[in-house]
Amino acid sequence: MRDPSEAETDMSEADHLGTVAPRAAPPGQDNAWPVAMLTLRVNGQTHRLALDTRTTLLDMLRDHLGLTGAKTGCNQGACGACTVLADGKRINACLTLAVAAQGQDIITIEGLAKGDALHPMQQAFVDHDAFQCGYCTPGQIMSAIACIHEGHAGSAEEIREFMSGNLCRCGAYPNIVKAVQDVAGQGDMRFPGKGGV
Amino acid sequence: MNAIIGTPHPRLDGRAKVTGAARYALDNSRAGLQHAALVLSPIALGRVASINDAAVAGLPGVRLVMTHRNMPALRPDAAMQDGGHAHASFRPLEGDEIRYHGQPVAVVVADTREQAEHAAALLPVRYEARPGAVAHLPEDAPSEEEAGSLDVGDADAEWEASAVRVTADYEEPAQHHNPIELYGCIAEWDEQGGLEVHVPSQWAGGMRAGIATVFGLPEEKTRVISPYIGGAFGGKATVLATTLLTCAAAKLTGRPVMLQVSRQQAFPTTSFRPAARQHIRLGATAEGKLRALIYTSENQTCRFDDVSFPGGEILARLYDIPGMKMREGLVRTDVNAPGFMRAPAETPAVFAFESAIDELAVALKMDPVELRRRNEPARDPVKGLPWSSRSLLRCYERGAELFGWSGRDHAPRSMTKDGDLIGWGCATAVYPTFISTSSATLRLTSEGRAEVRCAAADIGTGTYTILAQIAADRLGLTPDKVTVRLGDSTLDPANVAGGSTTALASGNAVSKVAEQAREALFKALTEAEEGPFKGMSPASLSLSEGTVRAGNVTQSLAEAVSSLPRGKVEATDQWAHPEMPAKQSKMLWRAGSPQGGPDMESFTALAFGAQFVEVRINPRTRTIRVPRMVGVYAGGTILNPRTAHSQLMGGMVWGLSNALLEASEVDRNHAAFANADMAEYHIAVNADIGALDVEMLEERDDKIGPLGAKGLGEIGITGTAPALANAVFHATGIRVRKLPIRIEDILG
Ligand code: FES
Ligand code: FES
Repeated sequence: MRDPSEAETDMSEADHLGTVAPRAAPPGQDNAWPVAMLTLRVNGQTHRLALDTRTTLLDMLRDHLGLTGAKTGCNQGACGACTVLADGKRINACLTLAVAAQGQDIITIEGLAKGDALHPMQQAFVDHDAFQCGYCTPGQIMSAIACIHEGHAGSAEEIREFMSGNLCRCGAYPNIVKAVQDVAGQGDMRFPGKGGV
Repeated sequence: MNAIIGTPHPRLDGRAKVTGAARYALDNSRAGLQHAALVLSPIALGRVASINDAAVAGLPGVRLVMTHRNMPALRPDAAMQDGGHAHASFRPLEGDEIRYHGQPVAVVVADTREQAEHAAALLPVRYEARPGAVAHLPEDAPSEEEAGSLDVGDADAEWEASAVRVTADYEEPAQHHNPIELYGCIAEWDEQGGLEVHVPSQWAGGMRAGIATVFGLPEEKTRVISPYIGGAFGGKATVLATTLLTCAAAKLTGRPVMLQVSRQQAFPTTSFRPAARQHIRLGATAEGKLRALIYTSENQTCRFDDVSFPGGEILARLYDIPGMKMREGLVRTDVNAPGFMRAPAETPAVFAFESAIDELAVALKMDPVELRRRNEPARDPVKGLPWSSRSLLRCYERGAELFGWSGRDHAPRSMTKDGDLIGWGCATAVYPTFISTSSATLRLTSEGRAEVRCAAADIGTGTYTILAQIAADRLGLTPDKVTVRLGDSTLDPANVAGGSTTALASGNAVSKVAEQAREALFKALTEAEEGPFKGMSPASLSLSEGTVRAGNVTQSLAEAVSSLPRGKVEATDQWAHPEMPAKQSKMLWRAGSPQGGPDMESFTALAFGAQFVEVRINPRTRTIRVPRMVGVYAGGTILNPRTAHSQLMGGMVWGLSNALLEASEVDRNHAAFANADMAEYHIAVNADIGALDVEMLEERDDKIGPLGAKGLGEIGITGTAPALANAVFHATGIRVRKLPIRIEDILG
């Protein structure tokens, strides 16, 4: 074991705390990170904005577009709170750079309801009390819609398996399964796929 | 009056939560917002020797590098258990001293999160480490300091005289809450020196007091806003150091600052369930009548505060045991302060004790349900007081029936299915009914609506909905005609949303002010110069379906309220249990946390339940699956069976997670939590949960307060781990006395 007091330039001990090991900036780089001009289609609307290229899709939605429905739970792809649809596929917005999301139809929780009418999955979550604190809920709902569309909602067991990328610390799982089964049973779920809402 | 209390009304905050409209603390981005990032210590003990802030101060966007050298002076605040509002009395950045691994040593503020995190990662810090840091609960833990003790009868003599004895040691690891919402806050100072803080909070009023104290602000210039909380479980009850650091940084930059504490950084900087160990000696007669319980425990805590959660006091209420001796000790370790985590005292203690009870049943060759039946206490064994209500045996009876317990062959390794080992286990669930106090205001408006104001929190528990139901019930309205405002320190004081107390305390406060507003309305209408009710006796008026009535005379509530000179009726009051001393209940108005129970002056109150678990174990791979769980509880009046069901279900999911998955592993070389993220700290996922049945029995309790509702937020977790461990024993014949139970524990 190295002496931790030598931790000035290499704090690899600290890596598991999530602090990136501090190293001097690569030679020739002045740390002014490039800014890119992005064009993104979110919930059927086109947005143009200049962003630090390190910005994730999740931070872009939340901090730059004010779409705070997608939630941050780990920034690591481990919890699913940030789940959105990209061209009809569920993705972790925290693991997607905003620059890489260009050219795709991004649908967030804010894009589901038609005016006052909730999407059937939103309604099913209310009906089955499929949440408590509600923090994982936007991600669960986006994931649930994709789960049915993928054809992974054939049985309670299959739903449990294919909804396991979305953690719910409140433990609403049994009710989430019921909500997904309910909508799957309705047959004609409105699916926001490619081409937008 | 239509029954509204007790109906499964859907959550009133449901639409906001399923549309993404609900604003959690970090959803409040604003113009001019700057972002903070933490730099954490990679050593556990020592000091910061130097920080070269100049090396990052010039990086793009960087506005501030806050270290112990430029941190604003803060005033002291005690930890909550010591009467303050802080998570810990020791605060990072007040000096150069490092007392735990992952302690913040600097905060970098920049225009964007990307810039702040980048600069924080590059900040050169030199440390002087001291050896000897310990973050785990040592095997030979010295625990001279007492965290609790209790004596009933002569335990030693009863033990000596016991025909059948069980001696066993149990252990539970440290755990972290890991709400899905990240910790963090947004702090903004205004030009008049006022401070507004968006922080997920179980106690807006308490946090306001804590923050105001520390920054020397008058309370009315400090505001804590937290209408939605993304999971709390006890971890968001007190003022965390990260909150104070954000406020301090915003003070220095003069701009609003957001700190989003990363999942990894939350492990050392927030709260956690401390590790614990119990040594149990349990003696009984050959017929299964309990005689002696000798219980000692070691409870992990930090070096700077006496935070601990001894559970013996609760265990002593489970069964009729004439001789009990409990000695609970503190073990100091080099960690941040531990804190409340869902059923903090009960979760580890009940695991240990209910496992020991099962061991005794095995030693007696007796059905474990029958063993409990033979030891049901008629009164509180500790104080000799009557129970406010107690339905433990009814819970067992119903649970056994639902589960099919009579089909159990009590011999271990006796049941199989499709080649898998099957085990059935049961255990008692218990949570004390803490009796708190709360205030509330209710206003009747000229639109014929009611507005409730209360600084309580809805941490997913359903508080918005039950308070609306209670107000609606008292006012003859439908719940959608009631607006409930919670989670803001400017509202009427409520106690911390902890100890499963909110439903009873704030519920009774709302009930009280709703009745007062109704009576005030009737009085005003009958005393009015004109109007349909002029001159009538207030007692002849009633309110139902949004209409004021007296015989054939009716007027809509909206018209009635509009007709009054002020165009509104308002009532404000506090509810406190008559057995709570006035001196104590008054503390509510000074941001104190007054709480009575489980024993009051004339009764003792706890909620009980019976839990049953089936495990299915592959004989070769030894993987443990849980195809079904049954929990039957009695919690007095169930205000809303839908939200109550979710509380209990969530508790049982936590219990499974506690039994099989959760442990904050300690890297002993660095005295650090090693599995500090969601990928390595496992919590139950959807596929881990099989059939889960929750039933709530009818139970009437007229002692604990007018609503008679016992708290249900925590009880669900308590019986799950022992029921599951008992099932594992039944399936395998292997007794696992240490959580979590893993494959390697049952290789046999
Ligand atoms: S925030 Fe994206 S998976 Fe957790
Ligand atoms: S509802 Fe709270 S995390 Fe899922």
